[in-house]
Amino acid sequence: MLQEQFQFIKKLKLSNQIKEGLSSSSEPKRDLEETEIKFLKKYFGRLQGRILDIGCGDGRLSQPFASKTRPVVGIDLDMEELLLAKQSKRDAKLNSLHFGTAQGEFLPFAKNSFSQAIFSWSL
Amino acid sequence: MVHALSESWRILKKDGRLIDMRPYKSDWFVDIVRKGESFHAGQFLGKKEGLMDDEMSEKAISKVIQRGLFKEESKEFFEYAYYWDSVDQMHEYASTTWRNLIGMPKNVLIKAHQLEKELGGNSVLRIRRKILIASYRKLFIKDDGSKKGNFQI
Repeated sequence: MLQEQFQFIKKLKLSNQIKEGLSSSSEPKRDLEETEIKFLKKYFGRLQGRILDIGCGDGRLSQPFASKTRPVVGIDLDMEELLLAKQSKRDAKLNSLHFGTAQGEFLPFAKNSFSQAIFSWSL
Repeated sequence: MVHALSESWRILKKDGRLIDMRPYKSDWFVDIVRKGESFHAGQFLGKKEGLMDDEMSEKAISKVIQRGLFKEESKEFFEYAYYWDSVDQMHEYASTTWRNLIGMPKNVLIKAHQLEKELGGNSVLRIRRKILIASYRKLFIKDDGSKKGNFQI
């Protein structure tokens, strides 16, 4: 078990090194105009109730919409992305934001439990 | 995909709404940008694999609408942009990360290099993609099997 954890952390560190390497050379800057968030605000802006973000990745779209009256649950299968999402949640100190591992085909939630669901670049 | 859409139908409340937001894999517009001015260099071509993904997603959505699980409320597009400091940086990134998604015609790369040279050091390369954002309303299926929408259908 410890060996597995060690391997995972090693892999993650390596992946981060690769990402950092890319960001200094060929990784692009994305959506500087924030059009993605602006368009989503049109849909989520005034609405209340739980949101499920399917394929949330690093949580970049989950975080801006989480609030006391509008909790957001983000799910993804990519553990590395989820770790980034959880870290950004901790940094932002958001109690209304939750992340977990799950796939769209088998959602571990009760029926009628979300007001909105979004497939973010994942359908 | 149909299974995932059916699952999202299950977990949504009666008035629930489903948002589908994803890039179309066919359109990749290449520009060189400097101080708000943009110069179009051409278009990269979506590869078959990516185009098939688009087609499968569309088919899955059509199926759940046909089954009466959702009703389309709205559908629109917006542009999403990626920026690199140079054509070479973009080329390095695209030939690894997007190798299965796009083909980069030589004439577009040559034009981009030419524009970059003409405009000097303050220019950046931009790739614009077309993003779909569509909204669907959950339709209610009564116990007797007949369908009834949350709104009049």
